[in-house]
Amino acid sequence: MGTTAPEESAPTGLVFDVKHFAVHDGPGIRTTVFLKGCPLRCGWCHSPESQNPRPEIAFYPDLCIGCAACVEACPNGAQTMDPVKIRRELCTGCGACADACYAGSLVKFGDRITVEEVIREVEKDRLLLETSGGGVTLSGGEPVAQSQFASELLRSLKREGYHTALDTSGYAPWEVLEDVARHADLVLYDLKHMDPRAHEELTGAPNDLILSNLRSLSQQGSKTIIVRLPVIPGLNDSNENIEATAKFLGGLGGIEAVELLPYHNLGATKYEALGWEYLLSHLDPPTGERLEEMRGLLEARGLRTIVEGVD
Amino acid sequence: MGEPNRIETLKENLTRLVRVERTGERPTILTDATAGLEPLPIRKARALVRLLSEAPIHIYPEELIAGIPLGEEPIEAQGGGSVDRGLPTESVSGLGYITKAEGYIERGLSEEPYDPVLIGLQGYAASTTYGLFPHYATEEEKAMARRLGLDENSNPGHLQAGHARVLTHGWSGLKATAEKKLEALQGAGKGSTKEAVFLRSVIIALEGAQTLASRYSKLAEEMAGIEGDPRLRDELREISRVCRDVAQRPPETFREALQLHWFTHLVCSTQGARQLGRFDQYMYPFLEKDLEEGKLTTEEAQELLECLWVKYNMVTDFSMDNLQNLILGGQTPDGRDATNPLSYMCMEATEHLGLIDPKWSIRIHGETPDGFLRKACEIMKSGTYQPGIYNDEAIIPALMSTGILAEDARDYTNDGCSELLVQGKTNPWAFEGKVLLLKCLERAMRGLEGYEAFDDLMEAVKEEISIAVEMAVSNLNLVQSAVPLISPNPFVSATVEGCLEKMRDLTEGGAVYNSSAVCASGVADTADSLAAVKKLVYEERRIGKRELLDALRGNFDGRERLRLMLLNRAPKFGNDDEYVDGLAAELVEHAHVEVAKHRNPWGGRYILGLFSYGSYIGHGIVTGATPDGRRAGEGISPNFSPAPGRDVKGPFAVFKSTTRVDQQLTANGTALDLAIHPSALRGPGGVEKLISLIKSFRELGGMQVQFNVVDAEVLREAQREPEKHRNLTVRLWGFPAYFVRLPREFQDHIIARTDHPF
Repeated sequence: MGTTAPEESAPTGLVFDVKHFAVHDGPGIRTTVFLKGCPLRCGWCHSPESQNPRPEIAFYPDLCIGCAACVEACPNGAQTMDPVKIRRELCTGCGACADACYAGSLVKFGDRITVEEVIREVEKDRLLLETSGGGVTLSGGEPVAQSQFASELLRSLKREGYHTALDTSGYAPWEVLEDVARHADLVLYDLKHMDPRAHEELTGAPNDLILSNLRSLSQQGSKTIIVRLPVIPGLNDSNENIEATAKFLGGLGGIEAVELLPYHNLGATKYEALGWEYLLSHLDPPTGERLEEMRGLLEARGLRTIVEGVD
Repeated sequence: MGEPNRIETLKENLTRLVRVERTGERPTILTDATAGLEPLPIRKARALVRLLSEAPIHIYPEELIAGIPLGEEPIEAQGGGSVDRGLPTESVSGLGYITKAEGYIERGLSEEPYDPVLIGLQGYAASTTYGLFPHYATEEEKAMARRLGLDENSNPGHLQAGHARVLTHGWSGLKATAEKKLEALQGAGKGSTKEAVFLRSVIIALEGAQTLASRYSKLAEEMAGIEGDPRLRDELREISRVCRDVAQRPPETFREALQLHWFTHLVCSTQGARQLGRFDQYMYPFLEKDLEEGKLTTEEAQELLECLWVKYNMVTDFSMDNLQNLILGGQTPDGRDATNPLSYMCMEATEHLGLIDPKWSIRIHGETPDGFLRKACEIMKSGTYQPGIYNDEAIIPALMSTGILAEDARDYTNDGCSELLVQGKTNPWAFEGKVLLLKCLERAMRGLEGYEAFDDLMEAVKEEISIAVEMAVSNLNLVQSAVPLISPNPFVSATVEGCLEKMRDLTEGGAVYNSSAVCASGVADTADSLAAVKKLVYEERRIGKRELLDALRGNFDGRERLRLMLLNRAPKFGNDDEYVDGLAAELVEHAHVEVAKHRNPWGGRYILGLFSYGSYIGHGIVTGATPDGRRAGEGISPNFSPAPGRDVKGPFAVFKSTTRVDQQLTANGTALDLAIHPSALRGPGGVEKLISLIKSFRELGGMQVQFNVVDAEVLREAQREPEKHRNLTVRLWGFPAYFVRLPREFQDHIIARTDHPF
């Protein structure tokens, strides 16, 4: 398997999951396609396997039966039994170990697949998606980082008659984002912090492009935009930041709703499985009262606000 | 009007009722001067009369509908106190499935691919009238019955009385019909024929019911005589009048209809018939008339209904499988939508009372009102109650394909669990015949080394299924022929259409429809096993035949990697994968063809159902390790559901898999159990999502589905602290039950199925 996709007329994408019966990624019941690779590095990210733009291997030690099939399978000597671990510096993410691991202890995240393959998988759900007023959501990672594939996939989905949604951080050159978003009926647009310095500290990137892209998108006025705010206690949930956010969004117009996504640490075990350190384990999810206070601040600016898990 | 505290008082009454403690011998009617020489059906009817004349009766404070279950008595008679019916005690009927399987191993029956022992027919042990119902059969009759495992109360399980017919004609009308026919026979010199005996047994049994109602009328009158509170005194006088009137004529008001229905249910409960059918259909005309005539307000009607609802909860096998099932909505016999205001009131009663009985389900079709489905989904989402959902559009044509007329097929109901039958016209035998598909596979696998191609294995499995069906049918036919010789059923016969007309007891083919069923368990596990062998042994050759057989024989001991390959590297039923779903479809089609070849002793057809009931534990206990990666003794898939934890692509993928199996071949019904995590239905949009799921199921042509909206973590908590979760309900094989009252094996199986929810 090559590390870079050959240039073809039918683009492939690096996809790490297709979730059927997704209920939190837009209206109705949806099928969500998760694209791998993200330019941001948010410490609270609940799917760390989505970040690297190449296949990688997760290891869940609880499921390991010690059969050593992975050691035999690995062409690069990256698997060892004593101790049982992956020598990450040798791993190319080829997935030979995961293929050999019947226990599911080693899992490969990231497969190169074509638009047609995705459409075929989505097609299985068509009746349910239509019955529920749902559709297909592209999420990630950052789908726009694989712009050619994402754009082609959304275009094909539209042609097939699906409602489409794009879940994006907005961190991409405007022309690229515009090209992908063109085929989306709905954009779920993440906003992490209003302050440029804080944003860079929390995500590894400045927010100027994100804010200007959101402004441009809203000015188009051609699609529904829901802005999603991850609420990370102590990091971005100050009244000051929420008020700044409310002011910015209130000034844009054309924002359908703001959705508050309360922090949770359900992704923590995945960090461990990828051999990463999870730095936010000390955080508690925000309280219901705090979320309601935030809702109040946003609604004061005329922004319809949804709290995930409450509304 | 409505008394504000009435319902609370009635709920309190539930803790003050216990089974009659009876020491010594069961009574007998054989010593009566006249009874001893009578034919068996007459003796059975007399025994019933004795019970109805002598069983304790009681009216509780604030009741509007009178009558306690026969064989129970108020706790005051045993020295007072109260009984906590919500306590976590292990359910008898659940445990029965486990002890039965263990018994098979002890008795060398565990290799049979069908169920050789029909314990469901041994009625007394599970009946509240145990120890009270008088002996009526001679020693010879009993000895003969015992050889087939039958006794004096061996009624087919899942029997349904004709409640609608009782309300239309009253006991008196049914009795008059029998008397007229008897006179005609006597006039023609046929007064001692079998038909005449049957008619006499019906008349006697109906008189017994009238006696019971009269006893209550008298009791209410006596109580009114000493009651100081004028409101209660008036209410008791009204109870007395209603009981007196319904004993002698058909009901004229909603209240009279409810009272007659309840008495009929009490009597039928002692005769193996606890199913309730289309309650909203047969009861609504009385309600409608009262409302139109201004005799009743909606509020008063709701109170009366809830008075009855509490009553159903007095039935002793309170925790689980008491078979008190009714069904709401659906189509009228002429094909219109049948939903009416009472359909909604029934759901409201359950929601308001928070009590598990009566069990109810809903029927849906293209014209089902949105509000009706929404109401049911709201209750499901709340987790307090889980109705089964029946799709008319799949079920009605399936029933018609077995020779049932369209107007009758549209009048179907579920029975005690999820089996399908035409209400009030059927002697179902829907539950007793059982074939273990996974056992068929296990037997066929022994010849694996001789099968050159996968198709050879498939043929061998089919051959085993054919044999198993033949065995199940022979066994069941023998039993069906023998039941009338020990346990005729005059009272229920009076209510079921066809019996009086043909002058023939229900147990002898008197009903209009006399189908019998074979229920197949383990569709998913068997298809999973076949798919694993097909792919890994025959196609990819990753596992040798001998290697696999050795591993299975050794229960995968030391072969965990092989087991995990079988489990995780072959397609599994429930994930919208044609490879394995197609095998399931082929198995079911073959079973259908085999089952449909057979006829029962009354000329009725055999039909196929896909049910394991609680045997998903027991059938696992008797089955060794299987090529789907399942270890010996582990539970199998419940009913027509995927094997626990193997469906990972969401509920819609499960629908797609199950509907690849032709649902028109399973006219006895199927049950698909699905767990959904509450978080998937959060927020105001949650109910919409559930509704969409159900509608998509209907459009795919699925037959029956039931949801558990529950978090596995909550179930584990309930295991740790049962007293804090006594009202937590989960849906089992055709009915909801209190989780904390289930045997541990069933609790664990449900948790395994819920651990990977959608």
